[in-house]
Amino acid sequence: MVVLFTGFVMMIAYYVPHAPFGPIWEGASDWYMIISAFALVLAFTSLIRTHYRKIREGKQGWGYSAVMFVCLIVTSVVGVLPGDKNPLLGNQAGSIYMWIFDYMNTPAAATVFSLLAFYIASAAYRAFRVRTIDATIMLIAALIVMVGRVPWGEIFSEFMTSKISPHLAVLRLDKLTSFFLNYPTVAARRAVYLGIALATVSTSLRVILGIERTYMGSDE
Amino acid sequence: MLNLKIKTIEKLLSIDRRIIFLLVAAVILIPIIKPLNLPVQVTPEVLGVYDAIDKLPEGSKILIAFDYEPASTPEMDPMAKALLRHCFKKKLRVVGISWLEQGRGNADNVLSFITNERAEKGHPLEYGVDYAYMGFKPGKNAMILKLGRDFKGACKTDYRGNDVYDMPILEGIETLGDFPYLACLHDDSMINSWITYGHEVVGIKIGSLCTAIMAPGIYANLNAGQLTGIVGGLKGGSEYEHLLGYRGLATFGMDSQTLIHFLIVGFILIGNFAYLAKERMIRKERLR
Repeated sequence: MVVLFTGFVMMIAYYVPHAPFGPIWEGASDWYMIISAFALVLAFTSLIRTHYRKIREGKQGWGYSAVMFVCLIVTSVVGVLPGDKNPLLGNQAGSIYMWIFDYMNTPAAATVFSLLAFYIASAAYRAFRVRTIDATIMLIAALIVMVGRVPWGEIFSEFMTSKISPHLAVLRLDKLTSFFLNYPTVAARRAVYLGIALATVSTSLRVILGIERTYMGSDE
Repeated sequence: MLNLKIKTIEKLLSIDRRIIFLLVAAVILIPIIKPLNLPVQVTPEVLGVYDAIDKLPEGSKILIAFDYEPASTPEMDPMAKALLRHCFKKKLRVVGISWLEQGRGNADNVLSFITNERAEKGHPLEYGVDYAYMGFKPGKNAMILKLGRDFKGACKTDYRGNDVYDMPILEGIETLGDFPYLACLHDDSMINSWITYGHEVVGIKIGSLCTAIMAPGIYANLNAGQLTGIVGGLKGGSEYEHLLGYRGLATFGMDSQTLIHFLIVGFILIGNFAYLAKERMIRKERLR
């Protein structure tokens, strides 16, 4: 009943900003933002519970959980304490919190992300095969886009049209890349977008009308 | 003889991955030690963002969303710096905001870097007048809708705890629609929320500056006129730097990216030629 009422009121309030819907919408938006912020509390609790259990039971890799606890406590404490009197506290530039962010968090995250280049290269060599027609089409498109999106690809395309034949302009890799991005990719993406939109509308209606109740954790 | 050939190809296909990793490391490092200084060609997508900002009259306020995580800083920071250099060169007033908790640290770093650079060059910028940063704001979609109705009421304070109602930079800004342009720096699908609840509701013009992996997914929005342009990955960043007349970290990084693209293309071709040759030989062996 609460979901039904809230759902319909919010739907009307989106299109009708006048009283009483406007103030209701404003209040509900504030609630939504406060509840969103509490998602962090939920994540924090879940993280502590998972790693505490790992340490207590002495599971493999419990040492990493201990490191996680030390990092969590240090970062939280130095970041939350006010930096008005001590510039090392708080989260302004020059604080310990920002030092951790700049010299530990950022390099570590960027390093993990950059490992992708190594794995992609290895996977490209071992797994990207022309086993089916679909895979072949994808492979050819990938090769064109990869070469067409870098300066050497552009130089090569320029060379083809200026030195060999201007009729080869249609085969310029940068133009072909642009074609792939602007037409086949857009067509597929639009289809996905439309599918997502329709699915969102239907799922939302099912939730509002009480047909879909799994979000409550039980079907009863 | 045929069996020997098949075995040789199988050996080639199952090459130790550490050799592949070494080759990747080499092609990334070589241009860092000795830059190739490859030329840069500007694409219409990047020009769409550059022109939209360049045409804004002096003193206009521009909203910049810093929605990327530390993992994406090597790709995003160069274009964020280029964007800010462009804005301040055009004497635009910059208001920053983040939906990601970690976007706050990135925004702080980039803004500090560029404002210090301006001060060193004798063009100091005043916080709250020339630029301001609202900090991390939770709520995403609901927050964007709220910004569309009451910008200051939704933000209340900036990241330093200053009251936004007292900030000169926000004078005349009642809703999100009062900003003539929004530049969204993102490494996730946050741009979709800005388009749906920002562009479609209040009509704000948006430019996307994103990681290369995000770019193909938003061409649909560009073609629908929901975005003025896309600056995608290091390539987009290098084009933006080229338009501003300098070779920065994005242009520098494109040397390594060019080589690694060609290396991967080479790997794919070698892998497939070997695979096809092996299949052919196996078929021949069966026919015998």
